[in-house]
Amino acid sequence: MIKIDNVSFSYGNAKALQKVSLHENEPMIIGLWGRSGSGKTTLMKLLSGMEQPNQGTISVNGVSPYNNPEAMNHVTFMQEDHPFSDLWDVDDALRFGSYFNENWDQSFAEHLLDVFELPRKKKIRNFSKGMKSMIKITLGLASKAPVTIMDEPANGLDASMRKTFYDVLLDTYEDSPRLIMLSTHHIDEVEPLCEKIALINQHTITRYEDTEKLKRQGVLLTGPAEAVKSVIGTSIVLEERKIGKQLHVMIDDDYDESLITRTEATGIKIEKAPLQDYLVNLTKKGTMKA
Amino acid sequence: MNTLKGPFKIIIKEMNPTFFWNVGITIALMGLFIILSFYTDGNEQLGITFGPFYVIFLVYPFILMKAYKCILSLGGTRKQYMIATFLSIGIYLVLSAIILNGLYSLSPYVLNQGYIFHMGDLVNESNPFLYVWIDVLWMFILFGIGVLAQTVYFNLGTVRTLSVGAVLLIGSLATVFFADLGPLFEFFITEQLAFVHILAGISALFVLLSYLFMKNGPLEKGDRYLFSRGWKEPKPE
Repeated sequence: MIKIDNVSFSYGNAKALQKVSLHENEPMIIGLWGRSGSGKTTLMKLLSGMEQPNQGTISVNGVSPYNNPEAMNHVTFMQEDHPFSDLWDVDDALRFGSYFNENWDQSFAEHLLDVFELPRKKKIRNFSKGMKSMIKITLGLASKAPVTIMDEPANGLDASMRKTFYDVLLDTYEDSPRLIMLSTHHIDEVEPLCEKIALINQHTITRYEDTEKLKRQGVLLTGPAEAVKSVIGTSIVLEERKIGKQLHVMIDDDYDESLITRTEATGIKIEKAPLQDYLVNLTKKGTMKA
Repeated sequence: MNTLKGPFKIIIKEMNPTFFWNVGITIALMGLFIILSFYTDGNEQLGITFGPFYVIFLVYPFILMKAYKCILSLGGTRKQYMIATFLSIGIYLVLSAIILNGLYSLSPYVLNQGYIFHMGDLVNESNPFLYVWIDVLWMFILFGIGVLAQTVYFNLGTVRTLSVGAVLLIGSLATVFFADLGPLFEFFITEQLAFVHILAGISALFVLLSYLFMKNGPLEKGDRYLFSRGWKEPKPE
């Protein structure tokens, strides 16, 4: 479905992506997590054919997306700040969406409009941020493109609408399995939806793993400094904080039975680190080199 | 489904309001001239009706840049944007020429006195199709200038475009002051038809240049990297 081989891209002299590779042949929901400026949006633009790699190759559902009119039937990309003409209302957006996607599902689009309670005749330029997100979600999901990419799709949605979005996303994925890539700064929001998570850091994909595997990683240890250090062993320390004689660390290790047993014997408190905190620490400058 | 359909419909949607506004303004102008024709003395020139249409073809390329981003965002390509633009401009160009010349043809019947100036009057030919053709050529010339200006502006951004503009301005001023432009003016007056066709040829070249620039154009204004597009190894940190 998507095949990215050794792709590099720069804006002038400013590097945006460096030797990125990622292969995925199965339909699934993928989370793309990275800090601001890590290259997430650039990667999505390359996948959708909006930009051309300086090096390497990209194939989406068997076609090279850049400047390829056929690619519009294979990939849909809803940007975070997706441009809509000042003249468009919701009906216009849906009509144009149908022209660009051969798999367009009009009845599903209508259903989503009802679910999100979007006014059909109101100009999109007058929409709130949340409503703009809803029309982007509608266009993205109703396209039924084999590869659907959404950049921060839940931005601006309130808690209720976020839940609605996640529900319709899972429903449509179940009905028509396809590759859906969701980028986010807050992994906790999309992690329950994603089968795999790609971690982008310092302009390249550093991890691409099953969500369950990634969720097991990252362990918090708190206890007397000497005891904690003895448990750390050769594990990579992602975060360290001393409070008096107590040491609090996050280590890059699996939160599994063997570690729990080993730690509990020393009287140290052990906890699973929240995934978001683990990823933030993992992508701190210098951490990845350890 | 033809993959050009979406881009074409988006361009048409963007062009429609300004086109219909121009039709309205031109008809209003015609109405004004009809009123003025009752107060004028003798066979005086009342004015022109082609102004709004000529101006809009100059600025259409700038208006259509919003469509560029919309088309790319929905999965279209830069080439599709350019082709859809040229197709739509071609259609509206013919429609505009028909409307302009339709009103011009009606003018002898609806004006009490006086006349409306038409660019075809400079050609000294009475063939009505030539008048339509002259309008088409002038609108195409203006579109060509507009599309090249827009392409340079979008690719190079404000600062670099102003720099290019300054160089062109200095060159033009030097030409006006130091070169003998007499033969050119004479050619313009005596060989209007040939002159307009030469300008249209130059405009066609501008359109071609714009296509070549924009078929791999940047996503954002000013993001064309003329000398550093290639990948460079990052500096060691």
